[in-house]
Amino acid sequence: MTLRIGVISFAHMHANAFMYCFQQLDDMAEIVGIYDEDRERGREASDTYKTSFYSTCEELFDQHLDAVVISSENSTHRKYTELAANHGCHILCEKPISVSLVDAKAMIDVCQTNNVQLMIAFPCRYSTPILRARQLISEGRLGSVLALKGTNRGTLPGGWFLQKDLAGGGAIMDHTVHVIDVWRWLLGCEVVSVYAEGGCFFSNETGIDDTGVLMAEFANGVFATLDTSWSRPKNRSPLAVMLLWKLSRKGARLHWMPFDNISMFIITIRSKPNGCDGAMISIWHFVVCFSNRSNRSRRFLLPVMMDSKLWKWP
Amino acid sequence: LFVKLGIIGAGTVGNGHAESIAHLDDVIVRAVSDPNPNAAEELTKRWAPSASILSQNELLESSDIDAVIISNPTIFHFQHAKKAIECGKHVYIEIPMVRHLHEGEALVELVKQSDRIVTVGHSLRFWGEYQTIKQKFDSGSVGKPVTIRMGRRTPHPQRWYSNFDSSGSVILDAMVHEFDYIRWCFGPVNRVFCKSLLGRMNTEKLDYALALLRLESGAIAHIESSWCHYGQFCQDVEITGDQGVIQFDNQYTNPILISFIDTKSASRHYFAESPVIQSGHYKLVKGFIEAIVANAPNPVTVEEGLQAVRLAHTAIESIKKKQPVQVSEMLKENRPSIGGRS
Repeated sequence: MTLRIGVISFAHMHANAFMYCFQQLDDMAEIVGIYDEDRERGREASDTYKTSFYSTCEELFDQHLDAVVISSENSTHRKYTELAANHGCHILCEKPISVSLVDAKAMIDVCQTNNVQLMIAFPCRYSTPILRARQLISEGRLGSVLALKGTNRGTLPGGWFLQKDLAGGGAIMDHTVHVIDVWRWLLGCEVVSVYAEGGCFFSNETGIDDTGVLMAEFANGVFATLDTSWSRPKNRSPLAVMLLWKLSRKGARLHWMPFDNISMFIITIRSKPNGCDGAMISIWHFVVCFSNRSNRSRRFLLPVMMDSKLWKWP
Repeated sequence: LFVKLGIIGAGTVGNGHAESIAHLDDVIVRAVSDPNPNAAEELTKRWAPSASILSQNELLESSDIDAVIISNPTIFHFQHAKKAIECGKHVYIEIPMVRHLHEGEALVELVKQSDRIVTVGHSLRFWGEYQTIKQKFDSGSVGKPVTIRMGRRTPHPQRWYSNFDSSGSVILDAMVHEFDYIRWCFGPVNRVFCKSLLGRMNTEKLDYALALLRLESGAIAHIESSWCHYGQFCQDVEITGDQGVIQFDNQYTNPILISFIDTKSASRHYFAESPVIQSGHYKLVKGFIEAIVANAPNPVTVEEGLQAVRLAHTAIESIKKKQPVQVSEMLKENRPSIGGRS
């Protein structure tokens, strides 16, 4: 069964990454059409990806869609999610879920009411190094995690990312969510307090926060810092690198064991490392889950997916 | 003028200084003191065969000694520095300058009343990479500072370092390097928020701290200090300015990597392994001797030593309060007086 997908907006550049991933899945997914408030941008995308452009959202929803991808400005996630849910479409929504807790709650509620799935694009969870970390932690191989140090930085974006009414915030809004999501997932534990130092150093004309360093504490006593800044020079690649440092009690106690070097390890996610592209795997997951209306396959095991040859590696 | 030097504390650091002295003109080690006579003997045998082994008091009171290097556990720094100054010696104090803030303030007063050179061992500033970074930054190559990230990771040195009352934990003993460097390069710090393993678990064999600093200039600094580390000594620094980034990470630039399996040799993992002819330690000791014999400026003053210790205490206070602490709260006039002490 081919999943019929509509794409709402190319405001977020990740829409292109999603399209790339869908293309790799051949007949598992079909991009039925694109709607974009910015007609020129939408038409251009429809040319690029050889699909139809619809000048109204309603026309797109008339195409008997199974699911939509929402990659619009953060502040419009709620509007499009409500529309999609009311049309019975499953949703893959770009992160952050929304610009306010109230909106986020409303989005979850409307999807529950309409019995559709709402998936937030957190590809880091599907990244094989992260999966490996989770496995090592859950098997107790590292002992308990003591502290976390992370950076998720990038270059200064432009356009609506620098407009608070559309983005909901700056670098802290944009770059905190990926890492915090992974950390919550790895630790199985919630953050209980957060402090941040932030500022506007690179985008003076907008006044939005382009620099932020967070200090957080989890309910289990693990403490963490995270640098979320848009502070990387434009000429540097990769665009964004996320580093997670983990310290474990058990591992670190084995100071002089010559083969034990996992007391501290780094996970680096680059845009397209061979075989650990979280975006690809997350899209595959999305398609597999929502192709089956019974939702039976929603809880399939991720490690199984690792061996799967269902898609072509980029 | 020829400086006759005494070394108090013949541990790894004391040996390092003795090695530097052996390569310097105008100075000779005349006496060594260590509660462990074997350690003192080993140092003299290796670096200063003509030096005598004395008790601390004998060394400090000896008229044959002009200057003293204090490289023993932190808890003794103040009393030995005080006595040395009172005995008319020039003094080089290993970092951290003192264990307690009130000791640091008293030491600054003592030095003010004295004409002796008192230098604090903040050697990080004298390592080539760190000097180049400051030069690049000062020349405006990356613009205004935005974020400063520094890290230092070693195994836990254990022994007296395991006792918070003696060492002040990884924060006073290790992070103090970064506090000094950040303050030296980027100016005063307004507030500090620090979290560490202190109070969360037994830190006798593992210690780890993360600190977040806001500078008066508006820049944000982040410091990682680890005594949870296995393997090579690691240190890194990254300066992000509004015009670019300067980075140094010894993991990628070390021209020599050495691994030891036996624990004795592995103590080298606590220090930077560097084949440069003039290490930071050497340059700083050289600066101290030149300040004595040639009226050169004191390379690191006790005021600066106190400021680094104050930042460490601000970080520790922040851990206790579980919130950010203004550095100004740690100034003498703003601190609640401790009972029994005037």
